[in-house]
Amino acid sequence: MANFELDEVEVRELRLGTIKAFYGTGEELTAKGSCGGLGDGKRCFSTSSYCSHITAMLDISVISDVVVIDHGPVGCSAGIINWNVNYQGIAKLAGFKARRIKVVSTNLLEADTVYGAEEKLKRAIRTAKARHNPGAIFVLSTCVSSVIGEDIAAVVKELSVELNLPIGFVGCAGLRSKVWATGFDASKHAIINALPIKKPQAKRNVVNYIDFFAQTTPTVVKYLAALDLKPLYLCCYSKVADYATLAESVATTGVCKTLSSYLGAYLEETFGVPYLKNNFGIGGTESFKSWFLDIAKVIGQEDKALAFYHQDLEDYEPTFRELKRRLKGVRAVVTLGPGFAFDIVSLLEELGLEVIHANAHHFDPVIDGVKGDVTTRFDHPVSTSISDMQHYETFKVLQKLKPDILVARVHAGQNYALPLGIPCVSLTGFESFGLEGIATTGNLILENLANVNLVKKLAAKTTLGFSRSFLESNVESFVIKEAV
Amino acid sequence: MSDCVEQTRVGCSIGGAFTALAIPGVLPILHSGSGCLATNEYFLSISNGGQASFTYRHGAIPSSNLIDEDVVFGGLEKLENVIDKTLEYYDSDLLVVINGCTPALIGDDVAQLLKKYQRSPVPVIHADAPGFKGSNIYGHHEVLKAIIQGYPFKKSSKGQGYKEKGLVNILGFVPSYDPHWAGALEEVQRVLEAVGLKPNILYGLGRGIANVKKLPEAEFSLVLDPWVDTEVAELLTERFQTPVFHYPNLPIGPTDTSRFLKELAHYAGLNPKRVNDFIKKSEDEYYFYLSRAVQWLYFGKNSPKKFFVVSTSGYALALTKFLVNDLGLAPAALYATDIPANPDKVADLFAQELRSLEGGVKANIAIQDDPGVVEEEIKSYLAKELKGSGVHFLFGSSWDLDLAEDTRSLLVPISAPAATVVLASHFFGYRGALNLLERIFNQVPNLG
Repeated sequence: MANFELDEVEVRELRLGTIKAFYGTGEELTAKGSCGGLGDGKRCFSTSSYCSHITAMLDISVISDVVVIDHGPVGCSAGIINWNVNYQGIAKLAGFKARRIKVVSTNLLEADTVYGAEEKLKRAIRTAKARHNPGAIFVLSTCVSSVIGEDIAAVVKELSVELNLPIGFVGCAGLRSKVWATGFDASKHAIINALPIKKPQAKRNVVNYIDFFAQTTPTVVKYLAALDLKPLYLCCYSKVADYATLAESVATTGVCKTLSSYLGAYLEETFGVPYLKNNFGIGGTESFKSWFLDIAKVIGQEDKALAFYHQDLEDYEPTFRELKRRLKGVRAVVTLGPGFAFDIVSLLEELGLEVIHANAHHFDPVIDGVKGDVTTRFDHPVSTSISDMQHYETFKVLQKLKPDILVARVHAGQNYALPLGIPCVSLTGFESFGLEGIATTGNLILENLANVNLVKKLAAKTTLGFSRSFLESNVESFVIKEAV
Repeated sequence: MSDCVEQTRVGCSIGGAFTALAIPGVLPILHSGSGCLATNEYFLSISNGGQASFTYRHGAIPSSNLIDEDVVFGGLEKLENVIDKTLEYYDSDLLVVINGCTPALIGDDVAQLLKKYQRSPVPVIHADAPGFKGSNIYGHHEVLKAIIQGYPFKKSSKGQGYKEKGLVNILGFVPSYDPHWAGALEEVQRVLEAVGLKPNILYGLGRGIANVKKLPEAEFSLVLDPWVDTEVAELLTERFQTPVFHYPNLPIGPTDTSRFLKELAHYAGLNPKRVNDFIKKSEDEYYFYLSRAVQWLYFGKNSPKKFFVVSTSGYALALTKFLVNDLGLAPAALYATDIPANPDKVADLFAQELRSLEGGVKANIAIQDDPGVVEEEIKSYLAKELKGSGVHFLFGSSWDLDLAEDTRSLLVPISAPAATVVLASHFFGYRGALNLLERIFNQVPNLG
């Protein structure tokens, strides 16, 4: 159970026993996770990946009327431009209007590390208020502000009173956690504490839908409408005022367990809003049906939901049959966040593919939940690894297994498949959501297999700078300390 | 230096890793947090030209990935292991250990550790680049200075202090940060070879440690930016007695490029006829292509005449000269947002260069560290304009989408972060100006 009262979120590795170094099978991972016996392994080498500061910032900065203050050197927030470009671009496609993300860096310099920078932080908060008149401000900590001991919590309290504005503290210094997904929890923790959720007077026909960019919109809207419900997207496109109403919603769901569990669990625990933690609708027909029925159950509309689902399924069945025929026996490797990886394995297998290795960027043996913790299961004999973008290992796995296709996302796995002549598809969640998503996924894979000329030619012209002994070695796992 | 920075147009000094990555065979090792490279990569590379490093890639750049326990116990043991494994797993000619903020704050003595690698077959050098010390340009300078000071240069077989006639070190580029760096350097190579020089370029296709080794043998260093790499050129002077020819910017278009080549010819004692012939041929080529588009440009449309610039110092200056002298545009408000280390000197250089704009046009480039202020100033500038004032061009970055919309400006992304895909195109010289004109004209709605 998470402690929602603390200034800073408890990190995943302490709260949930999250690990990021494992090499074995899905069954072993699940067996060890279930008995509480899964310790984190250790790799003999490490390469640059992400951090929880990056994920916290991207998650919270897309509330449309907030300003984020990053209390650190200017580089810590420089990368947010990438999220902003995605945000503004995808908003247009999803039918939302999105103004640019507003991130103000306190631009910590060497002198600030000596003399402290709390006054500078206060000036930045006042500047942000004057410039943008936001609905709320969130101040993020960084490695520098954390190591030099800035008391951000105190500054936030003081300025919140001075400016009569909700100001939250997002404790997300990169060095606090080895798991980048802790940042998603840090942002939700700050939201919970800065934007009080009201006790509901009445329920609204709304479902909290926690997503990155609401790319699942057409399917979500269509299915919820069948039950007279509407989605409230969080955090992307939401407004500060929305948060007071979250407990009026009938349930909480989302596209990704990793992204949604912290806020979902809080709403369930505190206000009894069910968090639909078992199904996210991206793992094939059963996964999607269960997602929809979980929602319907909450409002007692299972029969209606089942009828709607089956009618839709009839439309898709000929497509699914044909996709299965054409995809039968295609060998795939999956490398995705844990919120997607294991569900996508099910989806691919339903489509007739053979998954020969599953990689997830971390693994939570349990997730935040209400009545005791919920165990995560991946009871699958398939070769399975847990690593946070340690792609020297991904490369060796791909080199050994030579799959027909790599299914990856935005964490650079493709960089290590293409030089081996292996085609890639990117699944960011929405491509595989719902029945339309199953069809989309199947078609994406077929289209990428249909003409591999670019991939083959690129491979012939690309080197990755690995040494000959590395290329020739049979090592595929770099985990030196077994998880116990 | 501003108290705060919004819509930042610089990364932090860890971004210097991309300078190392642009030199084939040079591999950076990060001694930092696990996300330090990624946040800079989003800014300098993925959302800036759609670029990636081209040998060692995103997802396999060695890093010690420090966490809180390392703050207590120190991170050197982790670093040592990462260096050892890097030497085993990768082919490289030079390893550059770049330390970020945390090791600097907790006092990790990286230099001391690296003494262990003095006999390593692959040299291992150290760039101290915590993000709180400066921008990605600071980091770029630290990486280059680390190479000049730390690389084990051998004595030339042609004797101590040997200089190769016509060999010139090309400086003033920040690879990755300038999304057009790769194409621009190819064009620099072509143009300088055409006038009889042998450019020594560190970055990009076909270059590498051999070019690093040639640094001491250059006849002179050519710096093509108001401030970037001036301190690197000074260090080359100090270490190898290499003189410096500093041209204020990477020139765009016929007027500035021809002036540059004439001044360069004078400095380097090049054959005047060869240089003048090249200038004439290049100007003729430029006007051949441009004049064919002029009919389109004037048919039924009034292309904007006024322009804003929010870019690096170098592009702000080069663009202003090109847009005024060659394209007949009028400067509205101009900003340099790359946080120069020596702003007073850069301001003087701007003033001196802009005094000689043709046709009596007046312009001023303001140095502003916080682009949030720029946005406010451009909006208040427009509020004071006469009613009926037309549309403007805005030469900026992908942070300026809303500003362009709010101010009815046509946006041409120039500087980081420019989230358009850049392959081989560039804005240098005669041909680069034609690339730029394509970008500019393609923003003008076709009404005729």
